Amino acid sequence: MFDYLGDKISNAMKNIRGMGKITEENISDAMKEIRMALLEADVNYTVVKEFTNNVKEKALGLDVSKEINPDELFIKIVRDELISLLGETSATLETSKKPTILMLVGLQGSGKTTTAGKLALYLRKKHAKNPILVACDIYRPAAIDQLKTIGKEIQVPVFEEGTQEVNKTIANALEYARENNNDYIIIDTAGRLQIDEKLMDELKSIEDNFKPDEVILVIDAMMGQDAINVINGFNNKLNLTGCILTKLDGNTKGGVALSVRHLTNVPIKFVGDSEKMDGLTSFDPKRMAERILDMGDIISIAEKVEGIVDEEEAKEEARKMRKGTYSLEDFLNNLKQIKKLGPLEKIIGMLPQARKMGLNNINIDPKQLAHVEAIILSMTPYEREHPEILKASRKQRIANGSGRSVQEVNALLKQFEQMKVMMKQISNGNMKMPF
Amino acid sequence: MGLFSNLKSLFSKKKEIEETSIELPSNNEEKLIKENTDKEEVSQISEEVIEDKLDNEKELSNKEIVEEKKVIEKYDKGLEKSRKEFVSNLSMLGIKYSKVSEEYFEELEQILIMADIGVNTVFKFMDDIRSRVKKENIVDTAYLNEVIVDELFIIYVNGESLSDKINMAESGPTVILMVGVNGVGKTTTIGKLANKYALSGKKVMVIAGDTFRAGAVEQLKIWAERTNTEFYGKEGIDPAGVIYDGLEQAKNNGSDIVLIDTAGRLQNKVNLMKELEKINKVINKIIPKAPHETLLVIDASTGQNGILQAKSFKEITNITGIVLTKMDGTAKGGIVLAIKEEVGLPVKFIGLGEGLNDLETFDIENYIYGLFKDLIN
Repeated sequence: MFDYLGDKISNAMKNIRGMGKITEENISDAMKEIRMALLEADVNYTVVKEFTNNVKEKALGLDVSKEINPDELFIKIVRDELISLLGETSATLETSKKPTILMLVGLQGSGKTTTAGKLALYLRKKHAKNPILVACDIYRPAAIDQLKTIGKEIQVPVFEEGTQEVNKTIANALEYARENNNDYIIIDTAGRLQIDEKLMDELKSIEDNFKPDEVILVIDAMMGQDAINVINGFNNKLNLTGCILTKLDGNTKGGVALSVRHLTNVPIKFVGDSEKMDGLTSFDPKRMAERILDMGDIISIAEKVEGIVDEEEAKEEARKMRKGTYSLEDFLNNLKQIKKLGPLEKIIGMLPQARKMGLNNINIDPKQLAHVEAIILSMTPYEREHPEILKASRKQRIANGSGRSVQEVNALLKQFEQMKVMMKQISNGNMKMPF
Repeated sequence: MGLFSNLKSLFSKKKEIEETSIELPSNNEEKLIKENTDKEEVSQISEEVIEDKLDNEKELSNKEIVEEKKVIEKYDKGLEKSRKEFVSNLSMLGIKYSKVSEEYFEELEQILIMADIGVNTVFKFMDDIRSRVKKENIVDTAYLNEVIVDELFIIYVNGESLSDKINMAESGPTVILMVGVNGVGKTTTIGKLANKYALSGKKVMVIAGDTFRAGAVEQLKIWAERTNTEFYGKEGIDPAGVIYDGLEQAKNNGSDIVLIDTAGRLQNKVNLMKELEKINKVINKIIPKAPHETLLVIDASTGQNGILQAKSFKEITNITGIVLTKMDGTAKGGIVLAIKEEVGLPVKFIGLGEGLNDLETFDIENYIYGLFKDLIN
């Protein structure tokens, strides 16, 4: 998400590499680049000003000893400053009482309903909680239907009482939750402008009546400089406890993340990074800062892999690779695991090495993976373990079965053989990695 | 003062056309002036001008004038929040710095960036202003404010003859396809457009091509009911399929206008963009030359990403214009200036509220008038 910002700052760093120490002159270009990059990322104008001033002050004020490269020192200053801007610690979700009441608020189209669904699924899956969703968008046509459809998909009950006054609905929902032993109530409210007094009063009345444990502002990461008016508008009227940034899977630079915490002290709790219902990730300022600085997001990948790959299985696979008995069946399993990680572009985008190789903008057609899968699935289990028995007629059958051509079947088998040879060499230490 | 005075004349009692045409400094502006005078008939702004016009103009009936006035009032009301801040900032600038100085430039830059006008556009703009100040030896900030309005016009108009006209089919239904990222207001805009065309006596059909978002089909159906227009949609099937069937029906039952909703898609999602390509092919197959208009819907609060949105969607489809939504908020929608400059896409409609009637044809003069009213008067 912060690709551009990372690249720009990185570039600015290059210019000061090779210089002995940090002076006003040799960082002026870098500072300009940083300023431009932050503005292009929609970071609030005053935040940019403060940020660049702070960085400059710290960089110039330091006694640069000869052992340290000035660019590394500079990167560290920028990194630390970014972290402090994003908020030092990760924010957690309130869990103190039962049922805990969460209320989502925000402008029209910021993604409240989708985020409500994601939050419910997150609580149900990751924390084994038993939430309900409460439909309180009584204005937008079919908004309640939308929440109901989402509820069905993620198997979370949706409480709705049509378009009646929202405080009544919430009171009944609360009763329902107590009776049914639900531990979370997630209130999906209608989108509204922060300057719409009547609708803002409606939110205030919910806050006064039910004292929600969390009032979370859902905000579009693509927002420009007006973000601060929106955040302040909601924050002045309500006691916001947190913020969720949505649509970060777009190619927005998402500088609003930098503005939110710094200007309002409202912590960012989650980010929405996919259209799928599991596309909600805890916001981690350190990780975000490193990502901004092009250090890649290895931790994110590691975390994702952890949830998907079974350690025992992985060990077994490594053993098979060493022995050269890694079969097409194993390959198929790996493919399935890779698919679970999400779009490959996203994974590659997180890798700093890949980014340096220019692979960050690569497009991988998920169909190609599906074709490979189809071909393997058209083989018998025996064939998957012993691909050497595949001759013309079997290949033709597999091609027909998978809807691909014989050439594609051949290409896959050839690639697989090469891969096996390479795996063996690598694990025996006979070959250096090509990179 | 060329364009600015021309603009001013539109807003105030006296027209100063003669005066302005004497002072034309550049070719570019000459074109603009010509255009403005051409457009004059449709751009009376204030009551006084309207009254003035009544005496010597024959083409406009009373009714038209009242309508025109309504439109302007709506712009005025819708843009109030955006304008107030922007203009008061700009006026304050004039009060704070009576002489043009480095601080003045710095603050001007801030005001423009805060309006989301686009970083590159602003920086280029600042360079232009600086060099003009130097060349013309401008010291008076009040005068410079006029120059700023002038230059902003030039950015948007860029010497082209601007058309906010909707391209209509010569025969058969006119197809308008709506595209954009998630949550910008595509479905709502279709509702408003359907209302607009239905009221003008057209037979309108809306097709629910967003089969992805939960509730989207239902939402459009409700809009169709509210606007008394025909609806075509099926949930849970391929959008291209729905559009195919819908267009067949529209062709057979003699619809004049077909409005097609599509799912929100982030412009970097390759597969979704491919889907859009496919939708286009399907439309073109059933109705040659269609879609007649492909409108990219952009939320006024969108920042720099708006430029990328415009670029990416333009690569995939033949975007013919922008619909700028949610202009009733505090966002200034300045990104449309950058989009016009960098991608060449004009704004055709502007959304000024949540009501059925809160959609207006975009008029750059009204828009800038709305933003600068207080400054000019």
